[in-house]
Amino acid sequence: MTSLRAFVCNDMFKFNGVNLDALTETYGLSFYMQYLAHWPEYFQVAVSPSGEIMGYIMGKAEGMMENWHGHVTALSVSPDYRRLGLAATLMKFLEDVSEKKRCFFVDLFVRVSNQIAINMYHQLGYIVYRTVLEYYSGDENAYDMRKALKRDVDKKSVIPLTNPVRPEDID
Amino acid sequence: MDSVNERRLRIVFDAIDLGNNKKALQEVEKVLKKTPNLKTGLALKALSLIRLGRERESQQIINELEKDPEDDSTLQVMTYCYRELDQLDKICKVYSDAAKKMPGNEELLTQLFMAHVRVNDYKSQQTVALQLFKAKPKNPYYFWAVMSVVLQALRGSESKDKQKAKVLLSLAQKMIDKIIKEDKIEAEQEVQLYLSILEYQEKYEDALEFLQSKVCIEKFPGAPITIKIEIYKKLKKWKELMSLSQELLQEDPDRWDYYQDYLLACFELVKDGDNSVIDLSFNFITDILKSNSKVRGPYLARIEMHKRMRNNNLDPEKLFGDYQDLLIEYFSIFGNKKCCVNDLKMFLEHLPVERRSNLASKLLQDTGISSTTLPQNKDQLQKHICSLQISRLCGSHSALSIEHLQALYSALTLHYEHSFSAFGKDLLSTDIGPSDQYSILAAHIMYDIAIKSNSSYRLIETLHFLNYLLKNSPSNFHGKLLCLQIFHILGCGMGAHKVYDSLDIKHIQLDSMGYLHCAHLPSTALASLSKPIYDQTLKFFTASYKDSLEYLAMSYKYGSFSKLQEFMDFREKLSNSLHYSMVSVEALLQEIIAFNGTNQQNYLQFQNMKIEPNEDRINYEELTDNRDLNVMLRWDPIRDENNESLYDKIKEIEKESFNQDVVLLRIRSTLLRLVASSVELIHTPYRSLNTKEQNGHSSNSSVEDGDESQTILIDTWDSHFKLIEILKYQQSSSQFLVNLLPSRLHVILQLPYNKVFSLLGKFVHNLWMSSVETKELGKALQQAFLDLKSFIETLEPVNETSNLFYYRDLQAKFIGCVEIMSLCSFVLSFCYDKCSHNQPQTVSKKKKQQSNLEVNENSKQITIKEKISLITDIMRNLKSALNSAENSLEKLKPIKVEKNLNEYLASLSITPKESNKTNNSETASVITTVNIDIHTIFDENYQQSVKELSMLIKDKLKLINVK
Repeated sequence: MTSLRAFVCNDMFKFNGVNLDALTETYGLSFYMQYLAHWPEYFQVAVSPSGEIMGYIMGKAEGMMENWHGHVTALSVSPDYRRLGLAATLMKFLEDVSEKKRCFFVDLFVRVSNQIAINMYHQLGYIVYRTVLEYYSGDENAYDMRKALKRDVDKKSVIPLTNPVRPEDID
Repeated sequence: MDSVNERRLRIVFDAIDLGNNKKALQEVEKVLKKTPNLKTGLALKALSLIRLGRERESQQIINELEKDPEDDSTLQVMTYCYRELDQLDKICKVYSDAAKKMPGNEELLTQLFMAHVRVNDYKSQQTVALQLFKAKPKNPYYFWAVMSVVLQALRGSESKDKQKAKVLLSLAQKMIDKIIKEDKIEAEQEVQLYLSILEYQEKYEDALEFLQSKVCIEKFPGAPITIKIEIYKKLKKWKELMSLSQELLQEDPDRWDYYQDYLLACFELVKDGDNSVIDLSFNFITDILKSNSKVRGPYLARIEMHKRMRNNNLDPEKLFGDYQDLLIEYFSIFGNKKCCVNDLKMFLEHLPVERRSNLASKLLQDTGISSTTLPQNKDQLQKHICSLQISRLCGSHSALSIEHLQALYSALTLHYEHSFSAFGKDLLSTDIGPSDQYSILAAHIMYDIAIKSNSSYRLIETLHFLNYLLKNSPSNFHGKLLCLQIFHILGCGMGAHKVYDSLDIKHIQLDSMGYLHCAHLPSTALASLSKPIYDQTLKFFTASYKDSLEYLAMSYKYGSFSKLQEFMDFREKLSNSLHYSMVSVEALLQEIIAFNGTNQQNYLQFQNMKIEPNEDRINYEELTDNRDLNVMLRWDPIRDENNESLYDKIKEIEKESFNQDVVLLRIRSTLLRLVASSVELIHTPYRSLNTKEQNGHSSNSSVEDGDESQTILIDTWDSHFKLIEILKYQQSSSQFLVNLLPSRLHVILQLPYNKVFSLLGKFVHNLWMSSVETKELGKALQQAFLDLKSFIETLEPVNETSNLFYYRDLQAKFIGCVEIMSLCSFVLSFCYDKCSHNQPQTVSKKKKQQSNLEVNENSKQITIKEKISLITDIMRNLKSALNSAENSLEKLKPIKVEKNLNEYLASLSITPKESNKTNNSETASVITTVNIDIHTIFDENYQQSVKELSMLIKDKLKLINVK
């Protein structure tokens, strides 16, 4: 039971129920503002019937030619609104926007230890495209996960790489 | 620029980037030694000087550069300088000059445009954007101009004149009409802007038509459906809205916003006399429900429709049956989800009061848990918790006696322990446990007991239990927030601080959640803890204020016109934050209070603070409340015993607490300015009234200003308190645990702030004029300190029978007294210093003549000697009051915490298992565990407070220690 709408600046005063969660980072203002200024359509918030912020997704579209893709920068759901399929709703939204922008695929990064998230992305149709070494603080590796969109007819974007890459080699 | 210099300047740039300003200055000076006229070098020198706080020197260089800045990189560095100096208009000036010299230069014009953006000069923006478009006919430039016209209409000076605004908007529309006609629309942002211009003009029919046009569909394929929905609402096209939302719901049956639109349309049609839609809607929702029985949407929609039918005097029972039965059905299906309570909360208000307790017991029945059974699985567990929360919402707890509440509390702690053992074993340290909510609810109930029995011991038990919870689920922020609140209720700043630390509050949270901790810090004696938080908070605000200008520039760059006004409003909201102003003032007051050097050192430091006594820069009318007031969960009854809506009451309390804090800010800011003004006045050479009259328009106007401003300030100061007396502010209710804590205003009103500083201000003023009234005022001040002394002596330490808030109040009062005395010491020490240096035997000939003149000229004036003896008398009493405070520090001894955690848990028949979570998983690194021993924290807090207070008092005694 959700209402979706574009994230607005004032939501930042009220997103604490989501951001106080241990696995959600609160970034400096400029980070959010940059996304709001550049990709406002990719920054959505899910609101409960009673008006609380339940979660939000932020992303962007980038890349050249066949690498033109949607990217999930952050996806967070409040601990009080878990197990309601909210993350899937938000991901679907981002995929829809990316479809409309004629992207080839959607990708995201996740800590290799975050098994719950990885399982969920698998369920939503994402595959591990490659491993990025020491991507996170504490030198933890990341999985770069991908899902092909309609435009990528031959599903070329989701053929997994066999060798891991270093963070500086991500294009 | 040759490559050698370029390379060298690169080093300077890098040093500045890294914040190594000293090195930057050294490097740039090396470059300038060889090429003294290198303009970029000079600009960089100016920048590093600003960053080193040497603004005056830097300003000289910039003034020189302004005459002919020459190249682009110099201009860019100068832009940085102006931004740091807050001289944004100068950026417009230099780029405008440069653009005149090189007309049609795209880069310069772009910079000039952005410079106008920073100062909100929409008209100049428009001009420059059109110049740009003429030089380089690119669409974005054209649309920058259009947006600038829109802003003139909506936010510029013309916006107040409806006729002018209308003309401007229609101009903006025509500008885009032209582009559409020429088929030159390129981007979706352009289409979006056109749509919003139509909406601003309320041309909704046109907007709707455009929305379906080829251009729009082609260029803006991702147009959110909400645009169409909003237009339908504006045009009251209810039939269309109904069928559109119906379509959307068929696709996505769990969207609450679509249901609301659907039902809005439905009942608008009913209002218009079309009752047939009721059956239509009923059937529609029922059909959705049949095919989607697992999602909450259609169930909630039914309840919502039931409610709306009743509100419209229609009989819903025939279609839907009983309202309460719908709620029970919803609970029995979705009660195993945490969000169930929030869903139902919206609808409880519409259930008659007398039926609520019945509902509560029916829900509890539905969970299948009685006093003798325990939850068998996670679903049942969550259902039980939900039923308990709803039962509180229904007011079931309000009527309970202390004994019953106590029994409920014990039951909840045992339920927590049982379910934690049964279902919480494999939790990650980042998880919130499934049984955690028992203990959160238990804390609320224990607070009810504490309030009813007026005992702080009960709250300490809650702290123990929450502490136990946090050992099991170290990342449960709900538990942390409650601990934070309880520590502040009990006046334990140090405990509060430890919890606060573990919440990792930063960036914008400093504003939205500052009220939970930072705002209470002035009432603790822990300056060592508050200073870093003040600094961090102020740094966030100043940086955001500067940065936020760049977001506006970014919006133009990316063409996200839809965000521009939002960004502007956000920028204002941040800079008008009440919390920001409050922290700024408190930080300055704290700094003055902490001065511990010689008079000379103190004065120098004071001057560096650049306080402007004459003007209050705070715009009180515009202050905003940025607090996130819903961050703590609550299930307090929807209606209180008088059947008043608690929601309305909470809203009122929130508004009232904001209003009271604004008054508090007025007082604190005036206090700061009054102290500053007094110190300035003491340091201003005196001219007798005669001299002033003779000179007529005296050249020394600042003296008169200081003179006048002191009088005005004292009047302002007194008038605040007079107004408060009339308005009779009430302390906010402390009925429930997460109610806002009372404003500090009330402590200030219980202490002689008004009297002491009014007297002090007048005393300094008269002393400065050497008027005979000084004597009277001096005597009154002496008496005031005597009174303060006896006030401190009559303070009673906390004991077993003290009420819940007693210790917090006691501490705040004590600290207030010390604050009053510290600020007085600061001012009086300068009075003494000044007078004793003007003593006839120690001053130079010239001054001697002057002071002799003073005495001779006017017999109505007092002598230096008299002044010194007056000040010494006042200081004697102040000293005695300070001594008394020092001797009374023991009064701050806290209540004794008898048990440690294990002893407490044993009293609840809980035996904690040895935790093996210490070296758990990789994710542990993101958790800051709270490690507080409730047994000792109150004592630690006391020790630290006494240490800081006693040091402060000693410093003040030293400051006023004269022969």
